[in-house]
Amino acid sequence: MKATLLRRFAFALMAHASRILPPARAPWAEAMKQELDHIEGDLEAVRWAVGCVFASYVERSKAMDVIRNPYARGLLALLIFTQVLSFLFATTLTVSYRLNHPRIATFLGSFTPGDDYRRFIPLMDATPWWIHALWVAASALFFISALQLVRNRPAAFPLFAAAWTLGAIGNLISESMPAYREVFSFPAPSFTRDYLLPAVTTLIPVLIAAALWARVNRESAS
Amino acid sequence: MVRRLNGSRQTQSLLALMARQPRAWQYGYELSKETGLRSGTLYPLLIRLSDQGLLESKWLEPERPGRPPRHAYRLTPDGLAFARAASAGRRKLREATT
Repeated sequence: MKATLLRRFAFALMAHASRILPPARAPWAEAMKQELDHIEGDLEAVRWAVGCVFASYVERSKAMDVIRNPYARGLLALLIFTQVLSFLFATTLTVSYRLNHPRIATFLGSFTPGDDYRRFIPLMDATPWWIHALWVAASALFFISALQLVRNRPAAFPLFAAAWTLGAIGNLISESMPAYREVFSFPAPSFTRDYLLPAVTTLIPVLIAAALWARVNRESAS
Repeated sequence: MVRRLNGSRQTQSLLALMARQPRAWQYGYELSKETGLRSGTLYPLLIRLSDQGLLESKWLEPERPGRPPRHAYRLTPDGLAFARAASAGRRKLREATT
């Protein structure tokens, strides 16, 4: 009998869960996967698989002793804190503009390409409040992740991943708006603005995630 | 590092269910249905109980042919003692508060 799309999705999720679980937990991955064949409903199978993915992340995060060196943890936490500031930036600028605090808006605008916040007015007017809510939630989660990292708690990684996901969703939606393209179109190319800054802002979270993940893999392999 | 078990409602519900049939091997999906715990909650609990030596597991041949073997679980003697002690503790607490 041919597996339905939902059933195949459930198996794909389960394969992902198997990859996420620490190698020492391989029999548990197999145990969760085999149960799928004993679940009749396809939707129920997907629900089961989603739970197993969650369980695999829980187990993966438990396996990590994060980073042993407190200075390395502090440095990583500092890098995560840059994400807090980065995701709060647009919201703070918008709030200061909308509440008519031009001095704060001018000060924040000096950190943007063009050094003038007024060029962002069409984008600030067009950005709905819930995108700001996503960014603020991402900042809060990044902040808690940094705190957890300093305290050497394994929750740092899932919190970081959740924060990054929320922030990325907000960014993707914002970047798809016509006002974004209008504001971020420049007459002349600039290496720093067009390549260096996007590369750095992309690399920072990737490096943090890689450092946390590498630690997890070392822990689970030992 | 083995984590200490907490007395969460989910842990208590799983222990209580497994202690009702201490000699029977039970499957993950059935445990999930009977306790109402989602797989995302159930498996971390089962793993923890197993790490603590309170749960034993083994692969059982399927009841229906053509299906893969299943991982089955039951409490160890220590697990059963732990479940009974936890249940007695809860009963005492209930009696003291009523």
